[in-house]
Amino acid sequence: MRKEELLGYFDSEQPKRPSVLRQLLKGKTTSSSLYWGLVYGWLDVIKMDPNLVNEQFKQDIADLVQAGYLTANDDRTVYLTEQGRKYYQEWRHVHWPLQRTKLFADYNIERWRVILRLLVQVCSEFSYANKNYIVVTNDIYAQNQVRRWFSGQSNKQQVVRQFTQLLRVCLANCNPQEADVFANTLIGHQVNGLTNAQISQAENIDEDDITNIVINITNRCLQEWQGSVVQPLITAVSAGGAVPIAAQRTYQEFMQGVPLAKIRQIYHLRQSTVEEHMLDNAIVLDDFPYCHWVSSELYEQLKGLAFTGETTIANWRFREAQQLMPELDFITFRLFQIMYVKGEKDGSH
Amino acid sequence: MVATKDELQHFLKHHFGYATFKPGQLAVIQQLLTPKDTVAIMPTGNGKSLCYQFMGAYLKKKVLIISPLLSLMQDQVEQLRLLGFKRSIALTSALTYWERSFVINHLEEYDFIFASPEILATPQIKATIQQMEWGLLVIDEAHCISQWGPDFRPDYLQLGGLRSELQDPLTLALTATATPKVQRDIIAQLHLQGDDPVIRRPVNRKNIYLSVVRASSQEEKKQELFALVRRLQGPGLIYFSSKKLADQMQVQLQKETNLRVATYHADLSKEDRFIIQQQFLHNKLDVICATSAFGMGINKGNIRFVIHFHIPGDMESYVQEIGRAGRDGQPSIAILLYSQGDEMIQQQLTAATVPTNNEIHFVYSLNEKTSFTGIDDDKFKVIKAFIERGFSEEATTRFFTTRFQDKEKALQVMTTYAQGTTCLRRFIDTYFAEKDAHQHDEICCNYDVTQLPLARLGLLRTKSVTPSYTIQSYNAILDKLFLNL
Repeated sequence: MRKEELLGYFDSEQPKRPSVLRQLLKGKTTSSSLYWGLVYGWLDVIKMDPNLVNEQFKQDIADLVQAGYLTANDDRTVYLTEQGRKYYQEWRHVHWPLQRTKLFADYNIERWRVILRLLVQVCSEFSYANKNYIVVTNDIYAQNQVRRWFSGQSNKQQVVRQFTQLLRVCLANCNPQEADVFANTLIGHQVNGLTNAQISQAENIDEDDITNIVINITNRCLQEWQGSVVQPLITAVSAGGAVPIAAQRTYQEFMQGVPLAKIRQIYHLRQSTVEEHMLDNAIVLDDFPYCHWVSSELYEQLKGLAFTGETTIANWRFREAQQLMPELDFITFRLFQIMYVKGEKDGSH
Repeated sequence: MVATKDELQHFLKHHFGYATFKPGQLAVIQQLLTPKDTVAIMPTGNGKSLCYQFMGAYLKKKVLIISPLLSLMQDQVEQLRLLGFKRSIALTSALTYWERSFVINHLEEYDFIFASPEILATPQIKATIQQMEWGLLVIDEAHCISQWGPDFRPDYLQLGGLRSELQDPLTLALTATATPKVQRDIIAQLHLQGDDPVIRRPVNRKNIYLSVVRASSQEEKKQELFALVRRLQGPGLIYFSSKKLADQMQVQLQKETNLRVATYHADLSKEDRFIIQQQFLHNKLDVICATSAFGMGINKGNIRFVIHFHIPGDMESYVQEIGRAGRDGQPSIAILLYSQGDEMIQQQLTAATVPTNNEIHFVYSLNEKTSFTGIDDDKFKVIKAFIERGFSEEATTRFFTTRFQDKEKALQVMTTYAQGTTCLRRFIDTYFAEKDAHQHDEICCNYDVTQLPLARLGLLRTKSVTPSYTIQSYNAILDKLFLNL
């Protein structure tokens, strides 16, 4: 990710911690990073950049501070400056940021991109009745998935027609220049494709922008083709979502009526772990059953706690809350905060 | 097993589509079919790969090919699949855990298995291949086994032992270049049986005109390069010692010459490398600016020129790289651009890759739990490889001291070639101890002339080309990609 793109995630009024962004981009989700991701509005960036290099990220932030686009606070949060806001606005008018970023958490986008390229090649060569070609990828998983899917089709001609139509419609829905860029990267029968560098030179667009255009359309295809003939290939790249599998399992079993104490016992988990599992799910789900912990009376009571100094409920610390309400436990406290933050975001407060 | 020449040619035509063998291939195959272990020393482009492809198909037995180069293995697997040998696989450290497990559990289903030496040392894989029956064991780039060669790899030292563990299968050792010393070393290290297992093709490729063009400065060298590329019939390769310079020159060359120029080196993504290779193979590119990573697996017959912008470190590498030209037998040219002081680049590369005595001592003195070494990661790995193979510190130090001196000597050979006051072809023949009664003439090399005889060689550019990086509309591309069904 380019450092200029990072500016789009910061705010002039709400200080935010870059370390949280870094963790979410890499997909290193902890209960803490998910919570702050919710507070900062960053839940859509999870796993967007799994190859992010920590040192480079830190350097980028330092460079943006140095340039006057961000202001660093003592508590390791940063604000977007007015200069930074203007700079970013201008920058994004001539560049292409990534879109549909929520998909990165739910799918292995890189693998989908490889599968899509291979799929185009396989369908292209089939349409010319050619079986002798060098495949575009060495990825064995992608090769197996596409081979298995294609060989399982009883009417391959029809499937290729359907796929071609899907691709054409998807590109027709895109900005024409972007559709052209994407199509020129494709490889098939007697079509060698162009590298991003070659397209960049021909179109006079930054190579990083070419990369983003291709990813954006790849993501668009994934979204638009849900339930289509290529659904099995989409399913093959599912990545499980923002919440770890173990946490999802805890939640599913709880919703089936298994008490948390029992879940702890079955899977040999600590109390704090199952609580974190529930909190993770509360953060990402729209229909979490808060009422098991936070009744509407308790909610109002917690809202009314007289915190000294810190007025933002999202920033309240549990230790201080517990001093004001000794019977309060962490999971209840945190669930209250999650409810409140979500309520603020959807305007229900 | 006695098969006649006609039978073998018929098999070749039927399974590979070639009417005849290239020089040397038939001799190698016939010797292997005796059966007899063989060391085949054949120049780049002479079709070494076909020897083992043929054997696997003919014997209907499995072939294990050991190679040091990941990208080369991938290329060769793809070429085999293209020929219809779909049950081919490259077993390398580049595979993910899932992929490796899958391949190991299904290894019996493959006919051609490529593997790197380090992955064969893995206990699970070693145990699996020991239980399999092998029709042929191939050691590709066999010169890597020799400490006297320029490209020695410690991992290759285990191959003699591995061969024994596989019950001494019929073995083919392949290399493009080997001095007599390296040749003897290959035979000894692999414990090859039989008298004189070597089949050697001359390194000399008569259809490649050899030349050195001297410049007084780097800037003058650049201008010479532009002038040459403008005049020369392509397609062509230009080798650089650094990726950065390859990238820079690609941009400049494209601007200066209006030709279709691409860059190729290890920093490119796998996909980009695939696209560039395919574009080059299908004549959509005129020039490739590359580091030595390029071309090892490329089978393109009509490369008309190979230019070296920097002097290579040794004659073996130089001959391999220029050997990519003129595989179709037509006149081609190899040009070494040389400016006094160019040797320093190779000297710096040597210093960067050959561990010093202090670095060796440092690594030997580390305890096992230390992970941070403070020295170059590649050097650390190389020293660790020696430790793991039981070399003492003294032996390792001695080895690398000798290695450093050998590299200096090898560079001196190249410098002498570049400063050439003698027939360049005879110089190369002498280096490889080839007994070719060569007569220098006007289409041999330029040691005694200043002008390159491009017109005489038929290598002047005749067609002008417009750059083809034009973006087509997505509908046009889709119409090309998918024939209406």
